[in-house]
Amino acid sequence: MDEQLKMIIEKTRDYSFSHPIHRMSLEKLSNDMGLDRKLVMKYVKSTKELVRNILEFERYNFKVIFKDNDFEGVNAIDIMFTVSRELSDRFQDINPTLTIQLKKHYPQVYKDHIEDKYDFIFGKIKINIEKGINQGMYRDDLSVELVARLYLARLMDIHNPELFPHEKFSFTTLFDFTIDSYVRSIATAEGLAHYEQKRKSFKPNN
Amino acid sequence: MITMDEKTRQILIDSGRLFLKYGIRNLSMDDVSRELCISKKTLYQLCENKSDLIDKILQFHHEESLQSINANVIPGKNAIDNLLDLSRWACSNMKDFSPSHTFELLKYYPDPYKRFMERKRKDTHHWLRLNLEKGIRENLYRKDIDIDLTASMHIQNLEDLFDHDFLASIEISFGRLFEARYESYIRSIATAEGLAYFEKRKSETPE
Repeated sequence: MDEQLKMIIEKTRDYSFSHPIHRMSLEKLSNDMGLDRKLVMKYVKSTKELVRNILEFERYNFKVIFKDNDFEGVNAIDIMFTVSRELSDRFQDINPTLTIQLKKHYPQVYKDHIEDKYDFIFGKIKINIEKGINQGMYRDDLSVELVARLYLARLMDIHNPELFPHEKFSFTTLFDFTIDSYVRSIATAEGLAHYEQKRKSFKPNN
Repeated sequence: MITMDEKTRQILIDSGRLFLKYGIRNLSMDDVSRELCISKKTLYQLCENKSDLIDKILQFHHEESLQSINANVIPGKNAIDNLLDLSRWACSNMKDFSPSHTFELLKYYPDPYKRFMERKRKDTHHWLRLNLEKGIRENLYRKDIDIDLTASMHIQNLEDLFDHDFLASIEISFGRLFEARYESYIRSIATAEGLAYFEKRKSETPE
């Protein structure tokens, strides 16, 4: 990704955490963040396009976890730990109220983002389940499709601030809870022993 | 708690079945009175309008559920057996309720549905909390469980079975889906002892 576009996206992303997204305009962003408007216009022609780019960048940050880590031959449970730690580190400042704003003001952009994101996650979960079954870490009586879909439903739930308010539950708490209950629900006795041993040495960043 | 005569009770049961069968939006008050062979006057003595009827059916269903849970979940059994009893009871009671019913209620009768869901969540949360505390005392559930979050998440996971299109589209019976959700829940909270007990119970249950 172009470094200047990346800089604009990162600044706008930070800005959106403290400013209502529907009040953002390219002019306001340029003024408030001290960005050259011509430079911004070089990359995006509208706020909608900028929002689309921010969400694309979010997805890129997520997908890159799988590029940066070589999971070939790695234990399926260890992969879950690595991915959850990376997610906690990279998305510490996730604010679910932003989700509500995006849904309301940029419904199509948000819908495209969510579909792409969850399609990707769904594919990765299925690979992880199959790998864990082959390694004897997960039970072999699992329906891969069903387990993956149920897990995806949980991930969607924890991003819903109406169900789990940000003030009451931090993203890290919810995500850690979700991974913990998920692994326990599918692990074999061997997998569970490995998981509990691993968990002792793993503390999510709060 | 609603106290009502047998006739009112029967009208609420039968009209509830009609809504499930024909769809909530599709059925008018005229249809209800005709199908139940009661006069419109009788129906309107019970409720002001269709929205009020829906509200009363949902409230009635909730009260009946609470009584039925108390009757079916035997206090002498352990926490896992109580959960299994509850899941079987809930599954048989909810099998006729589909995601399309949720959709209709949310879209056309949001207030009665919201009231119903709030009552249901509150009571289910209370029940699950008691069950979690009991299971911990019996050493069947782990001591390090976050009781509030565990109960809240399980309630949401159950609601997902009705709400998410992608879950509804899986080619699996509602009973199997419900069972899978409860199995997942029990495994996620059980101690080694609890897990062994659950697996023993599962092996005794015919497929």
